[in-house]
Amino acid sequence: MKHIIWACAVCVGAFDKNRVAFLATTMFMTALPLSLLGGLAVWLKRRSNRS
Amino acid sequence: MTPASVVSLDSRREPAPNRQLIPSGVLGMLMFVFTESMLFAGLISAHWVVRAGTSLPWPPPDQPRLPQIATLLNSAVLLFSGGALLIAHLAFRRRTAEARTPLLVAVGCGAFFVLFQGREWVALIARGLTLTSSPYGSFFYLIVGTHALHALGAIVALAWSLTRLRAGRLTANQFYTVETFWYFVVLVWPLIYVRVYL
Repeated sequence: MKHIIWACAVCVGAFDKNRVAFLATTMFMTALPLSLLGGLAVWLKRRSNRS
Repeated sequence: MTPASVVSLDSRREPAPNRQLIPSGVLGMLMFVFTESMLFAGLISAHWVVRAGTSLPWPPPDQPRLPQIATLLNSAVLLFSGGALLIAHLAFRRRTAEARTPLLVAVGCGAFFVLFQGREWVALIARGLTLTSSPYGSFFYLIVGTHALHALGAIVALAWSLTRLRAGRLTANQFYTVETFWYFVVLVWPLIYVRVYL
């Protein structure tokens, strides 16, 4: 039974370290595309204003 | 036609010509780089979660340690390559031909980085760290290998731009596009080093 439980990613999340990793990577993966596209939009806007 | 309508037609302004805010090649490359950033973010996140979830020591005791110092020095070579390309960019804007030497240095340093990584891989495989030996090895070869593939592609592109520059046929759009790719390869590496090697 134990090996079945350990095969589940969420069950492994019982570790504090693992929960933090899940949370941090979720935030990272959410923020990254928003930052990239937002950064590009701001940069293009600034270039547009300058020219 | 009444005089009023004539005035109206004459005062109609011509549409403003389209201004190109960013070279089309660079925009396309940025889109590609954004998707590749997500690929690396996914790989690094998976590595992070697996590493945090294991109850065993990381790296596993029976697996060889990664060469941190040698790779740190190799990372410096890669960063230097990025710096050389920045110098090439500034030189290209002043006078195209002046970009040759710094671009050659960038290509050389990039090639050195990949070759050094290859040598490191051979040594690690000989010491028992393989793709299937442990999750530690799997993640190492997957993440570093994906980066090496990107580095190889970017070096080919840089070499292509150097050839065109020597022939006097390299356009700014082409050069800036290739540059964008190489900066991505250079800038994503420190994150990989910190997460995978340390």
